[in-house]
Amino acid sequence: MEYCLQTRHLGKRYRHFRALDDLNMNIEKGAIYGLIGRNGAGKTTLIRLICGLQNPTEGSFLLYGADSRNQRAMCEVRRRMGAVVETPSIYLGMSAQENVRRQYELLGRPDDSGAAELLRYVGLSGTGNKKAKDFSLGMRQRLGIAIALAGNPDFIVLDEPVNGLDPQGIVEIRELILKLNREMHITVLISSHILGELSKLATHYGFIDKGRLIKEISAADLEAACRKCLRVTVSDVTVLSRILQQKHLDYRIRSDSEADIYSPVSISSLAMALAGEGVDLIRALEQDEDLETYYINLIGGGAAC
Amino acid sequence: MLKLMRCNIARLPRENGVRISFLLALLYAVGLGAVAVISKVRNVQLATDALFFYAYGLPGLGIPGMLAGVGCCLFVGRDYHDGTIRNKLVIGHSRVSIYLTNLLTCIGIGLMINLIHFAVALFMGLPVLGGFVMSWREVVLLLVTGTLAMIAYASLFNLVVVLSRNMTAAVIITLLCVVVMGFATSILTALLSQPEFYETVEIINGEPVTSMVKNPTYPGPAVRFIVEQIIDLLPTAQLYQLSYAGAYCTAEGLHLLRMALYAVGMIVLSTGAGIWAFRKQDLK
Repeated sequence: MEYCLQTRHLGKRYRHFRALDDLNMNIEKGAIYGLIGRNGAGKTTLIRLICGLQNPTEGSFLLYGADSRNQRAMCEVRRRMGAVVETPSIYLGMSAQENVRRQYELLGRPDDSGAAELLRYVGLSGTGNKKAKDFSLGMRQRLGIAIALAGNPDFIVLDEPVNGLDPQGIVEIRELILKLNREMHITVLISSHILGELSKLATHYGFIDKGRLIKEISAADLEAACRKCLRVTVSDVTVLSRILQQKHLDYRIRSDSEADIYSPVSISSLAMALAGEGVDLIRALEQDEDLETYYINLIGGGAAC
Repeated sequence: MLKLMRCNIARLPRENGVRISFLLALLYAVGLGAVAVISKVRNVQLATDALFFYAYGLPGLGIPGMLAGVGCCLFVGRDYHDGTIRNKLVIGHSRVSIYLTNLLTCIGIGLMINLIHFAVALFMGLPVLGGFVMSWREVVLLLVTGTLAMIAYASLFNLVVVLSRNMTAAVIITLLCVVVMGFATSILTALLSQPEFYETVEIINGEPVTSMVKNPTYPGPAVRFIVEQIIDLLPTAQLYQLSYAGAYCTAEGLHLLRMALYAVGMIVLSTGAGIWAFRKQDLK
């Protein structure tokens, strides 16, 4: 298996605060790796280290085989990378075309013949001389992605690329990322709070909490691991809970009227047991555990992402 | 570094702060040129030397230094303000090459502000005020010293931007530094200019009697030495001295070699400190 990025006991400390702690992560080539964690978990810190904006205080990482401790090798291999870290890095006083040209100059490309095509690819053709400061947030995000793509990278890092976008913008960015991965075979590391969006994109997931990677899993394995359950709605969840405990069934109470039952259960016998206690079984639906539920269960339930 | 330099050069004409600095430098030069021409018309003795070396500032007013500071800080600070410094690091440019490229660009901005003035001074001054009074050797030595002082300025401005990481704060700090150095220069120059003795007149037996009395505030040898070192060290003070030299058409009395060595030392120290600080910086 070939890896694009591997971190080894990566750590980052700011004075007395440990932002990353012994983090070990592996991103396969060609993957769309979704990095999931709550606010302050360390996602952006990790991305900053990978992008060379900050230096690790412990550990190291390998980027296409180059060790992060070897500055010269890292400078060489970083040419295969592009990134949008938090906000798009664009010259607000320049147009989209000029921004791409500046990036071409930094990359040492002799001419800007590909700029128009690149902007068309990200959906920014026709902006003309409009300055980036007059762009909408979605347009700025797309320009940031265009700049990240200017060097024909093999690996692109996107830190919360759909933050602040409207639903249309979110769909467009999602389609763009999928296109990059499928057509240009670019490996993508994407961090996001919007788990629903990530579940439509990612081929692999990394769950990070308190600076540690607590779980790495492929989308296929995640689907297999996500538990089916029977979601029941009753008139008295206390009675339901008692009945389920008596039957030694695995369950979780969701609210004062809903519960998820993970163990196999006969609906008719359950309904009869409830009716015997004077409780109505209002609804029973089969459910798959989604990414959000999996994540919440992983980090200990009830935590906001 | 060539790629970084190419990008910086392409950005220069598009940066409003730099354009405004160059425009104000042109207005400054043209304004002084007009004053020189009017003075000549009114038979006031003025040489091309004075107009030429006002490129380094008027007595007590370091306008070129301020303009260079504003231009440098707005240009280099833009990368921090817009976050575009990240683009350079992500694709593998080293922090040392980024810092040195920005330094070279700041030097270019400072020297361009001087060149604008030189060109206008020669264009307006030579036909009206005639040729240089100073020898070419003196002119060249003053130019070399002035260039080193402007480079020292550029290295300090670059350091300020890196340490502050904020475009606006950097501009304010550099302007304040130039002004404070200007005040310090004026005060220290005035201290050195005091006469050792001054004449007093007493009435003795109804007759005025003049005598020479020692100036109590006249700086002693140790103080004089320290003050001279400071004046030869500060870039603002160096440029004022060069401007004065032009005004009086002589480089006599200036410690050009010492000024040049101090400038080189300041360039090396501030650049070294800046690179060290930049390499340690955690960027967001």
